[in-house]
Amino acid sequence: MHFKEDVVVNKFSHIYIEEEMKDNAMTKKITSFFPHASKIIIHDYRDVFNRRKQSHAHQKSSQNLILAKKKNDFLYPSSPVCQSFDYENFYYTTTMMNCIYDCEYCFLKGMYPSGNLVIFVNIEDFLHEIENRLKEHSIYLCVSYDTDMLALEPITQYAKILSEFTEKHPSLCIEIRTKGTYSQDWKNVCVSERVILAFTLSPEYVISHYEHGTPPLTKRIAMIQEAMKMGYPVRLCFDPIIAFQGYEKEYLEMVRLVKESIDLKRVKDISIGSFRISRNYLKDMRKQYPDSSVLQYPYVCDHGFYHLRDDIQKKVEHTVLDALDEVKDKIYQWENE
Amino acid sequence: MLEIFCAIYPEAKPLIETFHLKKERNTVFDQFSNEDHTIRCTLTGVGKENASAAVTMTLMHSSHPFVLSYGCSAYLDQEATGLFQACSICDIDTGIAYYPDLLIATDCKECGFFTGSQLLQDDINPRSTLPVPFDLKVYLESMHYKYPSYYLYDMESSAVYQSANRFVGPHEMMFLRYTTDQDARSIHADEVYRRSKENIPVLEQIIQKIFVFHEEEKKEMDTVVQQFKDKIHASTTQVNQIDQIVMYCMSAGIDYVSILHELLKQDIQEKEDGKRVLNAFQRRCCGE
Repeated sequence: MHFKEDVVVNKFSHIYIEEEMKDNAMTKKITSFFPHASKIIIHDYRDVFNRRKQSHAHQKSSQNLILAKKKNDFLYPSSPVCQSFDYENFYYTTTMMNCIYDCEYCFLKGMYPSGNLVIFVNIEDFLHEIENRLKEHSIYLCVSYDTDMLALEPITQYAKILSEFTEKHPSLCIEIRTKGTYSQDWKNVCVSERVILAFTLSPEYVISHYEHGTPPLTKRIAMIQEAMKMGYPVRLCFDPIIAFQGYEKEYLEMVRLVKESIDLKRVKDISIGSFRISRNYLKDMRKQYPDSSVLQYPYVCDHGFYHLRDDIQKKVEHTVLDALDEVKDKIYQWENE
Repeated sequence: MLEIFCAIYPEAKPLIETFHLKKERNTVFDQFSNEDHTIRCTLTGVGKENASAAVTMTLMHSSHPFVLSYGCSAYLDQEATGLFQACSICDIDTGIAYYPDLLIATDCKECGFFTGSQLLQDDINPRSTLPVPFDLKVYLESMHYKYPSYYLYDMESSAVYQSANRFVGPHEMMFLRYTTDQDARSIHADEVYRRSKENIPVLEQIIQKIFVFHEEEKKEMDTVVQQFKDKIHASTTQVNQIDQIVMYCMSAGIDYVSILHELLKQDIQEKEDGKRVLNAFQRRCCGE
């Protein structure tokens, strides 16, 4: 008798490579980590990534890699559901599409038609474009929105490359967001006051039920402790805060553990936000994942975004806010306008 | 349902025998299915247009289909013998490539398939009115040289992909071909059947895996949900709201049935009563 996990191929069993990039140095470096993967040469990554009627859910469990060249749109203005931390000229960049982790509530499941992971191997073109934009104004750039860059650092070293670039450009500030990683390669990231490591923290209940494949809370906290010791500016992101039965107890326990382990006065800042997502994304995600309680929760929709009902939103956010009262000056809270 | 598409009968015959498929009556294309209607084999006929018509006609009336395109093909590489799975399918008439997902572990060798409209043969096709626009053999040789991962040629795959993709995703399709010839005139029906039969043990395993992979877990709402909707004279918006709460409860393992049974005992006369009870249902289910 077969079980579903027995009949599917392993992750990264296949690597799709754009013909133009097959001799690229970064392509060769990445593929060297997967010597047994089948390599399939393609014309354009969109021929695979944008196919009709794909199943994010099926592909995610046997995720494949696509190596491609980004040809345009290296920088995007930020989304209204993202925290700007009072920075002007807030952009994000997408050197990779999709994540190695599998968080049930992740907006990527609604935004992208495919569960496969795209890495744009022409990183130098991204740097070139950032440099050009810096001639016009300073930039606050989030580099790890559409992926977990540090989780893939062993094979790409993009965080290291971007941090070294940031160090050389005083009007650039970058944020590298992560749920933590089991490898130590993140320590090669350049320490700079303009390279912010932003750690997403969730209660252990949320991690084990919804953030599949991610390191546990204790591991994330240990990583934060190390990062702070090494001198990185650290941001703590309690985002998204999710409503579930018993959430209050779980979030308070999480905050207690964080306060016990980390000197909050030394963190750069803290962001808090409850779950919110584009209406179209959630519609698709609910169809693909009927068994996900975090997606099927009856959110309310207004102005094109689903979020918790106002009274519940206030309650869940205040659970964390009140517990962090002593550092309220460092807290940025996402405002539902 | 597993929908198998073969171009000609000798390819399909071993499958028909192995899975005890019986011929269906009054069908436009010859179709054979098993007793519990979980497997159906359709003979499309040779060529893209036939394949497209057969796939479209079949899938329009198919429930939760998985498409398996199976048959013989010509090989462009002398060493290409055995059963192959398509990792890419390139239509030589348009130059466009299609990519079925490769999520099921089949252990088959993978390669690219070229699909074209002409028979691969040296002689002129006696049925054709006009001469063919190019020498297919020469063209395929040069394309195989340029794209060495493509080394099979058939006449249906790209059409099956395109038509099937109107109904199913790339994760619900698989393309398998076994090699028979380098010239269509050199192969006979008996040989097509014989070589197809050799693949049966492997096909049986693959089909088992397809069933596991493609299993549909349907969750039905309890009948009490409709009773509740009727009792509160739910509007369309309220019906959607109730459905969403029930979906949440089913995914979170919350006993919505008991909650609804309790609420149904309440006196609900006016619209406002209905709203109040619906809000109570949501609050109870969401633990508020």
